[in-house]
Amino acid sequence: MTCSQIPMPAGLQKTCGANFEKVKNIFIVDNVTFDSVVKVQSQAEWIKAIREDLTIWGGRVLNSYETTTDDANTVTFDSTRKRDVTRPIPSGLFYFDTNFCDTKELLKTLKNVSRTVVFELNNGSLHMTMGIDGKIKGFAGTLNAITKGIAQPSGVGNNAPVKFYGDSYNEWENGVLIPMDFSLTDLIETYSPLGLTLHSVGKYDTTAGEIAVHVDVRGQGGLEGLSVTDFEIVRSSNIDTPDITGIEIVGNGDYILTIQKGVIPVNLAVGDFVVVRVKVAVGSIVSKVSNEIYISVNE
Amino acid sequence: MGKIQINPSLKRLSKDEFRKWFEGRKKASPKRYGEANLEDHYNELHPTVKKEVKEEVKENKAVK
Repeated sequence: MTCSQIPMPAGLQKTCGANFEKVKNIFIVDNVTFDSVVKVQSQAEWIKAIREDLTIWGGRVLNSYETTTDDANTVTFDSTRKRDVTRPIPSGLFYFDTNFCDTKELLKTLKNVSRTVVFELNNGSLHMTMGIDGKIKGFAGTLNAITKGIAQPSGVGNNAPVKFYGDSYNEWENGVLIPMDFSLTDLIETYSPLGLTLHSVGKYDTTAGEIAVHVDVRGQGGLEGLSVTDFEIVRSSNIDTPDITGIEIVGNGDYILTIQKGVIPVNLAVGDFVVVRVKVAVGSIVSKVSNEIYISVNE
Repeated sequence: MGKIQINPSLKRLSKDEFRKWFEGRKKASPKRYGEANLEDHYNELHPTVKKEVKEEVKENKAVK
């Protein structure tokens, strides 16, 4: 086992104190970096990322996994000397216990997307990497969830396997294993916002400036009681001051959103798009969050 | 017909700008905004002024 030379809280470890145990969970993180080992080991930092910044999710119910990294390409030269001429970038295949709506959500969310991942090992330590700037972060790569469609006879763990393809061999060479005194899996379970499913019902009406949407608690019925400020525009085409200026609360999870642009708001025009989600928060703490929907304005 | 809510972000509009926007909404979406009352919605966006005045009056009474 190769020991990390990164100073741990217990000092420089010349003999490896942290065992490189099997993966317990994999977490998907977005732009989460830490200045120091101490910050990685801070519960508050992770709780903030989970329920305020919404920059970490996934994991919790990893059923099994395979390491799918290619073998190095070994070439035998004339003298019978052998050399490895490639350094294959790590990859893996992860099976989560997913119910039906989790399966759907994974398929919609992880379509060959660039994300970074953090591995929690069985002993609770976190497998991450350290950049040349000294910052500790997840491993960059592409994630893709894929299904064979028909429910697998082998069980719920095989319905939406997630493939991870790393981006850089160097990140793994510079991996760090950070012992933790709490479980990131437990934090995710305790502090993750409740998941909602948001979908549009019909198209954006350019005359009325409105679109009908429906909100369910994931896997349950329609969610009532949302207000206009619980909907947010996450991003948009390059338009000035996109805003959900009004809402009609229809009932049973149905809402009509008035979506407009401009300081003095006018309806969106052909070619504009907005990405909308539900985010229910008290102060900076988010209690409910939905998937994002893409609303484009067509003729 | 469900309840209409106006985003508090429209507080940024002056009363004239709000009126212009609101009348635009009535034309664009008469089904939804036709019956809506401009004054009610404008006052809903600016509740703090009223509240502060009330509290001030109460405090003054208490002093007396």
